[in-house]
Amino acid sequence: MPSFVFGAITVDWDLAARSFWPILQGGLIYTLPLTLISFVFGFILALMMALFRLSKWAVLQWIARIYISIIRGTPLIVQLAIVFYGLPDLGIQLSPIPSAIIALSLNVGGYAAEVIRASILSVPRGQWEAGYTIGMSEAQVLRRVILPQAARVSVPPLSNTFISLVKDTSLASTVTVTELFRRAQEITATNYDFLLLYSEAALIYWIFCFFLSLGQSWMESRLDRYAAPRA
Amino acid sequence: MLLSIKNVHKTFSGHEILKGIDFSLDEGKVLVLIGPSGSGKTTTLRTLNLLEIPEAGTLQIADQEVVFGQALSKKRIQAMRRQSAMVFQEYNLFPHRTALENVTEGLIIVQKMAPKEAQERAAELLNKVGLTQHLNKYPHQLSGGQQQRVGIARAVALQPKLLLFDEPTSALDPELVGDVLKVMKDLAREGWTMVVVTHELKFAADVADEVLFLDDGRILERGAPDVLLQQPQHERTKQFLSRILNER
Repeated sequence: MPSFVFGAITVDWDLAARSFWPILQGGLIYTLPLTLISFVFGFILALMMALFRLSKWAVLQWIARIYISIIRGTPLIVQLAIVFYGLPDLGIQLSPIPSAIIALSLNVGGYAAEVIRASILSVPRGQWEAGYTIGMSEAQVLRRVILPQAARVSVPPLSNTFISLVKDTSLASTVTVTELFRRAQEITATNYDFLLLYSEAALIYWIFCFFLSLGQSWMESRLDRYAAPRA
Repeated sequence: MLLSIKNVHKTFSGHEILKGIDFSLDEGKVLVLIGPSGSGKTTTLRTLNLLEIPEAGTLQIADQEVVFGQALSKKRIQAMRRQSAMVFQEYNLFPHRTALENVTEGLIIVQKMAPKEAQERAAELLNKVGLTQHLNKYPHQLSGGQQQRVGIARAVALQPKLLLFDEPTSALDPELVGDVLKVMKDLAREGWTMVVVTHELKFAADVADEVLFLDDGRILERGAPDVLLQQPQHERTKQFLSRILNER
């Protein structure tokens, strides 16, 4: 029987202090920028795919369906590996960071597309008709009437996507990006203090996500100005 | 003739809702459509604004004409739609815009009016419908009757040839109906051409130049309000009118 010894854990506070900044730095210069850039590209892609899905044209609908199905049906770590390790076989050689941005953006695009599509569909049909009756074109109704209302609905689920993305960037470590998690990993290689260093990494991810949730609440209340108070 | 609609047929999932609708309307006149639910009155009204596209028939408003059953380009649809504006039963105000912005939206975005001028016209119209105090409120901060008056101002602001009302008081609490009907009466008096779907028989009697009774996708009976409402010819019309009167 293996024995468990409680109370024997000693925390190396000096190591904790020394390693905190390098790990946090990995988060600030890689994790957060990767998250932000991938989310912006992913969001644009998602909006496009959502509109394709809602389009009257079967070709566009199918492009979006197939794309979303592939992204949602395959692991992100595999998508990253294909972009970074696989594409060179086709003569496309990308550095780690562009590879990570491409894979993460494509991933966000697939998930957020369904969120955006559902938000657009949640706006009552009467809103389209109100736009049409005052003479707007379909594009004008979409831009001025439907999307602003869909935005309110989509903030909570898109925030989820965003917060998941913060954590998913840790997978960029597999394509050699020295982001937050990989920094912690590298430090463990010299002292084997896994519990301490990975706990530190966890803490920093949690702090990032905590502040992002605050941002989400702020955005929701801002967009609530025009919404009826919830019962 | 400002408006003319001929032999319009419309089918929803295999069920024929309009079985040949014909009528016309001169400028400055008020036409009221009555009839039981499912009779096709709302579909007829929505056809005038091309919110429904029938399979057959023609529609002419002012100098615009469309023939149904042929492919219609988005441009043609839009040009026709701009001849009229609809006031909806459920108001359908833009919830993310204030009362004033609801009215300026079409002026600025569609008619390309300068924002300042649009705001002036919108404020003037909202003043006229008794909402001076509420220009900067969002729809959810207004009562149903106030929202519907914003809806009317939004339609009127565009100065369409034709105003369309789809049961504009049906969603309102009884004590709020009067304010909305008063606004509509004022518009009729000012000479707006209006087509109104309503169950308010008193409004029809006071304001309409002609009343059409629709039943099962056809116009069963038509006439001046004092004739049609007082001495209906058809049994269906009599039944319908007495049912409405007994509900009150």
